[in-house]
Amino acid sequence: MSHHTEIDQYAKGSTLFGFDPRVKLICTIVFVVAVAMFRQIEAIIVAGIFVLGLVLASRIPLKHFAINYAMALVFIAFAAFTMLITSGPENALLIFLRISVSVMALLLLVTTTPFFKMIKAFRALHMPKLLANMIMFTYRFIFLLIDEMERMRLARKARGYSRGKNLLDKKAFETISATIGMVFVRSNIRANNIYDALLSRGYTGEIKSFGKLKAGPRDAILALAFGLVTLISIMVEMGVVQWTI
Amino acid sequence: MDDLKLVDVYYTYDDGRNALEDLSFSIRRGERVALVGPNGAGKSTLLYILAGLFIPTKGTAEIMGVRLTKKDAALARKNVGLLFQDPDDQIFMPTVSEDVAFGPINMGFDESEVNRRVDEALRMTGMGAYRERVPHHLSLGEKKRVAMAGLLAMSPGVLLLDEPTANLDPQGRRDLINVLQERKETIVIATHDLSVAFHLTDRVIVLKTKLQYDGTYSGLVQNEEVLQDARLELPSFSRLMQMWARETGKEFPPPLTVNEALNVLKDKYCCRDHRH
Repeated sequence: MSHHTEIDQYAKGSTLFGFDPRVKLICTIVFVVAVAMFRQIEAIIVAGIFVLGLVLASRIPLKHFAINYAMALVFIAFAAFTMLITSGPENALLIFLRISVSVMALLLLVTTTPFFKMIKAFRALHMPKLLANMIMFTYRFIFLLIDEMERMRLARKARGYSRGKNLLDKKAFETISATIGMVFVRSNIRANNIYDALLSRGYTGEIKSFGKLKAGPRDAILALAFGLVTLISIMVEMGVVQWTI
Repeated sequence: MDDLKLVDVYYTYDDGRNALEDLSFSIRRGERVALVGPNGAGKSTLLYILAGLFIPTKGTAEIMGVRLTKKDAALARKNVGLLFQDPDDQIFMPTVSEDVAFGPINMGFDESEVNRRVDEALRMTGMGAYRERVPHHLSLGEKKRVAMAGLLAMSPGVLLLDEPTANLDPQGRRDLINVLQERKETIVIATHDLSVAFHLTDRVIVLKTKLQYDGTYSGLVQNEEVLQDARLELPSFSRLMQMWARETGKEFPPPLTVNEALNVLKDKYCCRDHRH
């Protein structure tokens, strides 16, 4: 039995669960695009407070959210560090905040929306079938790959393998590269089997399901809130609203 | 009427390995057939052909009257359901009920009919309480039952089962046998587990790339050459009874089930002596 931490495992318990995923997706994309254009730290802070407020209101466990954010933090820090070297501390802080707020907004979206509903929202917004299917298959395969790698790790351990003493340990390198190769071979076999299984159950290129997506008044309120905060942030950005920290 | 029919079928993999050679047989509607043979004998390949997933390299295959060609493979597949050996290959959707509904939705049924089929299939496999569970958090036995429910919900005319009891605990194995015993469809089971085959099927096909044997179990168990060639081993109680027959000089065909063994014992020893 596998015990993976899935990105959407707390979605059903979230207060944002019942909202139309299309509305959440569009709001988030518009919000992220706006944040990506901000040059004023104050504007990004306004957007960031809004996202954090939504995270708290969504009732998803903060630890789960923080762990997922921490995974992205490595890349955010790398981008900020690059900016620090090339453009100075202010730009580094700007890029750090900009990416952080965007990542948090996207994390909020995917942690409060079941993955399959996200795919439905993509399709409803005319994402090409091929791309939507690729995203879904990739998500499905991630867990199978992790299981495969875990089994191989245990098999190595059971036969006396221990980690190399340093990064240049030739023996460890050989073992790890053989493992990676084998994971690819097994994944390919697994992928073919899954495809055959889908075909045998009538798959013709699209994963179908029931349950139409419906937008209601509360979705309009959510969209309004996103729009309002984005507008205020833009006004701060443009200096219409004066605020200095 | 024949549900499945193979005539002079060959199958060669891309690497040039011959998986099946010169295979001809037919399976009538409602018949239950076991496909046995050593590892690498071509059992799974044959099931894939019978499921319309592989097209024979040479020869013809017919699935419920539809001749298997690249063009008609999708049509042929509508009539058969294949249970994969590893349920992780088969279970795809985020919840148990959605996975079971996957096939019926693809068959074009409306929502109420799909829901009815899902409920029925989950009830039959004893998985009704697992509707909203995430499939990859289930145990292997539970996953197998979900995969089985996914097939039953499609009501295929033919059920093809690849090692259905592999890696199951005794209770999981018994549960699956009980589910299958009640089915009325044509059933083909590829298995190493002869005791399961004895329970569920009346006809056995022994495969080792080519057809080695096609007939009844009573004929097979007396054919030492085929048993050895296909590396088949009778269940332990059958072997015990064979040893007992040799030791005591009593003559009877090897029993295929525990009940048959018990009846032999009653007949040859216990009850007759008691009667005397």
